[in-house]
Amino acid sequence: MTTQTRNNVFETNSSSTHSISIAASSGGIYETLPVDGNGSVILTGGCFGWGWCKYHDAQTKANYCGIYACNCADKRRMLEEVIEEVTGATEVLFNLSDSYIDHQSHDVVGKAFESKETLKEFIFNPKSVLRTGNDNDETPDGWYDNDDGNKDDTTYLFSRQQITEHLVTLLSWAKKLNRNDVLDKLSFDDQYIVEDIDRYTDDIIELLNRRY
Amino acid sequence: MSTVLNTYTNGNTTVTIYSDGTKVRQYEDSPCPVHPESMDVKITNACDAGCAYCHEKSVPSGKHADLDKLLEIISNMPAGTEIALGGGNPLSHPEILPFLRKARDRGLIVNMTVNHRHVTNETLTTIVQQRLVHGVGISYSSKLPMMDIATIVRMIPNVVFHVIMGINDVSEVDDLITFSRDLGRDCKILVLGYKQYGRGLTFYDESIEVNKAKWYTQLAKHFRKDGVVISFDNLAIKQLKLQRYFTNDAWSKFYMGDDGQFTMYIDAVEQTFAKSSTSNERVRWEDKSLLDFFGGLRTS
Repeated sequence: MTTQTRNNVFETNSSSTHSISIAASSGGIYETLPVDGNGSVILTGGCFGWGWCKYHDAQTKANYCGIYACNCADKRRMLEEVIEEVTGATEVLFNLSDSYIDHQSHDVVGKAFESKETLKEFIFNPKSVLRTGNDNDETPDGWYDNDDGNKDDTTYLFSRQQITEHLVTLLSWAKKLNRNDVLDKLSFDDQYIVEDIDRYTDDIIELLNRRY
Repeated sequence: MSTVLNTYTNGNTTVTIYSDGTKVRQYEDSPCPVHPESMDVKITNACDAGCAYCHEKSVPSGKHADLDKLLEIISNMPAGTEIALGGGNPLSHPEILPFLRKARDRGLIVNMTVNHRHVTNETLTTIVQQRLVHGVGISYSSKLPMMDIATIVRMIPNVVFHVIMGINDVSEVDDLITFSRDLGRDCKILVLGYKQYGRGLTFYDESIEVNKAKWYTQLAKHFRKDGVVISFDNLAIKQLKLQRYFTNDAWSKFYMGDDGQFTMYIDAVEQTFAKSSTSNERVRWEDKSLLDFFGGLRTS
């Protein structure tokens, strides 16, 4: 069954029709970025340390991507094209002085640059979440819950550390092993885990996305 | 809280319309409506506003439609069908009130668009007081007093401000939101594409494109604001490349169809049918029935 909805407005037009209507409750609408009077979007970067933070807003995610992509011509061009297509801007300016991404989070966003479509989804879909963190302390309680306290149905981008954490959880669950036993088995060789994760990143992310 | 105004079956689709204007359409496979869900109907070519870009080329001495004949032409339309009356200035039609009463008695959901300069017209007050229409569209002009609109906005919750890309400035959206909030009302806005048709053809110049470019980059910041509903006609959707703001799922859910898929246009002055008001192809009432014409649109 297909359901289509025109939100909160009667057909008043005397020359053509209300073919789409956006209300506050309309889901699936991308965010945008401010475009200045010169037709420019300005990325101002930021400081993304090792703290546990979640970012939903397009501005922060675009700034993060700007720092990540600024030294790679291909990625930078892809970012510019995506931002220009969505916002209608004629140029993207990178004003990133003093900006940085902590090394432990730096690879988080690489997945987003796989295609223009995934990059658009990551930056502009408010359901895409940028999460930063570290492997020096425990993942905070409820880290993967959304604001309502339910498991988020968002497509995430995971840092390597987060993948490690979830690989352990998944193995515990799949092999019906005690979590500590899994940790014992894996932690004897951290290098092994990292290599394995590198090899199976796509499969793991798919599993994680299915589960969360 | 909105209530159901009407639910009807149309071919393999089921349509429900609510008192706040929300329309929900459901179907299996592909939709096959047998009659239009809504019709834009021009009932007069008379108007004293003299808009230089009027795509209908309306003039003060313009002809009025035969509304009895119009009622006959739309007699097959079931209750719940929407009719958007326009002109010209529809308030100038001498038979507007009896027409609206008859349409209401049939269960048709009639809405009407008037120019900002005509909102103080007593006929409009009567129409709203007697609840002869559900929604009122106001072609907004920032050059005219807002207080003229306030009275009508207080009287009816379903007022929609019509703004035209290329004519209105995108900053006027802010003004309308503030104005509505001050009155304690939701702000409903319909964004219309610029029509290079009628007088809009000769009025068109580079400044229109400069204005439209601002809409292209600045409008989206207003999306999904609390108490703000922004809708679009198909021309604006095209000119704004609106799909760039939607996920595929949301587009499937919210895009209500191309011109002619669920809608059509009636020029009751010239007694013709068309796909939309800017279609050059017109069919005379005497040559085809409304349902045959609509059926032809869907299969063409």
